[in-house]
Amino acid sequence: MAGFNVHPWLTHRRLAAGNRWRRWRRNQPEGSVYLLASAIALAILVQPLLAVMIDYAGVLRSLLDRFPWLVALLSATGAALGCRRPLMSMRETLRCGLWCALPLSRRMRDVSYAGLTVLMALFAGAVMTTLMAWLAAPITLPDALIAAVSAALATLCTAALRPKAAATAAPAPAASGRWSEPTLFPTLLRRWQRQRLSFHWRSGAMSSSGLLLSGLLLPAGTGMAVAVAGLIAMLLVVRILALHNSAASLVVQADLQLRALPVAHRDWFAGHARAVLPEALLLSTLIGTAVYAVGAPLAFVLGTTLLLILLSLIDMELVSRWRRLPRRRAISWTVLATTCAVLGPQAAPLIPALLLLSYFVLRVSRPK
Amino acid sequence: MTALLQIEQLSVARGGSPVLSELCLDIRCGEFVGLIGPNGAGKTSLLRIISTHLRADSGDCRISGYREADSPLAYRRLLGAALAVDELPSDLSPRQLLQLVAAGRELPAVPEETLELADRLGLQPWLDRALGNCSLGARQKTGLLAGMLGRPPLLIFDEPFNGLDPLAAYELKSVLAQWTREGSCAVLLATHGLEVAERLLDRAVLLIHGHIADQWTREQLAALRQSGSDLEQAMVDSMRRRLRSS
Repeated sequence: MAGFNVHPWLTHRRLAAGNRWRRWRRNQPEGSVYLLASAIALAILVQPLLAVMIDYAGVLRSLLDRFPWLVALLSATGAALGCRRPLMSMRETLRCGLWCALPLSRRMRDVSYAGLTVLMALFAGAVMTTLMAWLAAPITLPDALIAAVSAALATLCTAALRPKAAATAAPAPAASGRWSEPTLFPTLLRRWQRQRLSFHWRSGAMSSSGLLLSGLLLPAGTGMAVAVAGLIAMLLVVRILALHNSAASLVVQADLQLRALPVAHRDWFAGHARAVLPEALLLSTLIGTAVYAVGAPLAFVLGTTLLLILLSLIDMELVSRWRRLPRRRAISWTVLATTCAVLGPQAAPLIPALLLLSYFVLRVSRPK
Repeated sequence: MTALLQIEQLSVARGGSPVLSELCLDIRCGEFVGLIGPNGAGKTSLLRIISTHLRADSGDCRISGYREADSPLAYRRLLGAALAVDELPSDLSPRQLLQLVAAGRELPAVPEETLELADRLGLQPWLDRALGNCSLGARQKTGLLAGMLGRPPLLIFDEPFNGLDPLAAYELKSVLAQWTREGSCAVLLATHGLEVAERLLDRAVLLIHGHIADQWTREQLAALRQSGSDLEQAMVDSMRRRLRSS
């Protein structure tokens, strides 16, 4: 491995992919369950999504007939929104991070970035052309070319933008000093997570993929006021879910730093729960309100809100309990979601089981 | 002897408040220098500027006369900065990371010296596990070895003894002391462990509010010990004097 012709980050990605493949083969039963559950969940999710998108395709087709330039605009916007974050993060990784102090030439860094950008532009062009061809079928060859070129150009323009100076996140916890005091641990964990979460909130704009998805999920023909309110609510939901996921990965990160400390499980739960509870309550209330707004009976609304709070509590338990095996949390949720989707309303008997489980969780995890 | 590391009038501010103010520091080859000082004094910021992770607002930092802005490759070839534990990629093993660093330093493989040092530090059993599954100590040792790989002329460490067991800490101190005695490199480390500073350092530099408040040479440190006083007391006295004067 003497010297590099391309940036070592690419070699890093290749080695890491090899490690992941070997680990997957070692834990094959667990991986297979995850894969199967994900495939079923995807198949079930895709059906309603397709229905909404087909609904949209009719509107889009009539719009494209009237304004042909919309093909270029939609392709360029979709590509720019989808590629912005990966490009920024790739640029930062190549420029500094782990490889900052190694004697790597700027030319190698720039050539690697340019090569990856071109690949991403080609990929964005292919994806947007396929999407346009499917949404606005039948699409003419010139329109397909316009879609591909505008998506690729938008990706290249996004890559040329300079990111604003990164803000500084709170430093990682250390297995010494105040962190080693058991009584302070939940408070310090909560505070550190809140600082990092507010940094995530400030440093990332509203998720662009979330924006696209939210837009597509609104049925065609929705009134303007309802569409705007629905879009804002959906964006908030996507953002809060992303924050929840960030909080879960922060617990995994903190555990890496603090493994040497003898911290009880209930303290991990207490710290994490206090950090994410405000968002969990907000999310449950938001969804409850949305369910009420579409005309559901009050009892159903209350039931849904309580169920969501319950699920949040269970998630907090899974995050803190499996902080060293984070994939198990993903597997649990995928299996649960798939079961609910397959059974539909017949999954209702699962609710008492979930209630029992959360009671058990709270009893075991209560700080003493 | 010309200085290996030359820092002149270095200033940096964060959020409007100064972190380092017109700081000047020279380190010669073969010198073992420790940065000490209270939390927030600017120790880590100084090390991050030298390792090019952070940009200074003004001032100059040169290694053997090379500036990072003018000769980035020459500058970085002379510098070995330990990787911070939270920067290490959890999806690689220590051996894979060291191989990448060796390739980045244009070496054909991980040098025998580094593997021997890994053995002395007790990292051998962890070399092929994913870093995400390694203990804090094993990750700290990996980060240190990545900085020391190829024995660059200037080594910089931020709290290198955090998370190390006593045996590994002893081995690391011995190796660093040996390398500086041989004159093959200079070491600049930030530490709160004043006993390390007293026993090992050629020079202890006290940083307060981004300024060098005081410095003690090896002879002065020895004199402190002989007089029955110690560095901790001297540091506290210096800080009190400084606070009174401000």
